[in-house]
Amino acid sequence: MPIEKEAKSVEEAMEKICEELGKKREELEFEVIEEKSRGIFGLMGNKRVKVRASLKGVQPEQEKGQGAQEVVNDALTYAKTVLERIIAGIAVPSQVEARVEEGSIYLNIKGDGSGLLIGRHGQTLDAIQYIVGRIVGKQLGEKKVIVIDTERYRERRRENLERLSRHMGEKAKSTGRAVSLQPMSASDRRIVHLALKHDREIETRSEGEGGMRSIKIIPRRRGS
Amino acid sequence: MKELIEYIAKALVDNPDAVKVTEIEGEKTSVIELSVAKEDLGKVIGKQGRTARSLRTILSAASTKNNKRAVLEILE
Repeated sequence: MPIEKEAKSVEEAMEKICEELGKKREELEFEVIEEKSRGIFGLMGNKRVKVRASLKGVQPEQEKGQGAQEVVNDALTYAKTVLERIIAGIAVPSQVEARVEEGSIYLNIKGDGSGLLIGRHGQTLDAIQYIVGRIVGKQLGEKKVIVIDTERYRERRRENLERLSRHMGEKAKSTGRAVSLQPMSASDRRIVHLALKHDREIETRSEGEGGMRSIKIIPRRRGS
Repeated sequence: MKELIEYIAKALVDNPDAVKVTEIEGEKTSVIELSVAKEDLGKVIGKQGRTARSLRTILSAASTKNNKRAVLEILE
C-alpha cells in the first residue's frame, strides 16, 4: 500500500501523507523518490519533491535487504567522516558516535561541555547538521535524514519546548487570546504541534514564511 | 578557518576546482572571501540563503574558538 505525494518540500509531503492516512510519522517509512529543482540556482520556490510512504513493518520490496543496508552504511561512514572533519575545523577533534535508526542517520558528538558546537538556540548545531546533510546528499546522490546531536541537546530542547508549549497553551486558555510563539525551525514547530495536539480547548497553526514561520496558539471558543 | 570553508564549499559544488578561498586578515576581524563557479553560486547560497547562513554560523563558531572574528563574503 505504498502511497506517493508530491509537494514543495519533503516535510510538506510527509505531512500530507500522514494526514491522508491518519497515521503518525513514527508509524510510516518515508522515501524521497524524486527531487526536482527548477528556477535560478535552486533559489526560487519551484522545488517539487515526491515522497513515497509505506507502513512500517510492511516491506514492499523484499529484495531491498542487503543492498539498501550497504547504502545506509556507506552514508553513515561518509556522514561521520564529514562531521568529524567539520568539527575538527571548528574546535578540537571530538569523537563521533554513529548509528542508524529506521533509515535515519544519528550522529552524536562527544562534547566537551562548552556548548560551542550547540550555539545560541542550537543554531550552530543546526547549521552543522544542515551542511552535513547537504554534503552527504550531494556526494552520494541520495538524501538521507541526518540528525546530529551533542550533549543531549536535541532531547533537552524537546523537553523545554514541550514545557513551553503547555505553559503558552494555558496562557491562551486563561486569557482567551491567541498566543504567538517565536519563529522556530520546522522540527521545533512539529514538537509544539504534537505537544498540544490533544488539547481540545486550543488549536495550533503555523504562520509566516521561511525563517519567520512561527506558531500561533489559538483558544477555541466554547460551544463553537 | 579558511581550510574549513574551503572543504565545505568544495563538497557542496559541482566544480570543486573552481572554488577559491582567500583570507584577508585584519587586526581583529578577518574577511574570508569565497568564490565559486557561476553555476555553483546557488549551491553555496542555498534556498533563501540557508546554506550561506549555515556557513557563516559555522565560521563564527570557529572564530569564537580562535578568539577572533571572521566574516564570510561570497563573491559574485
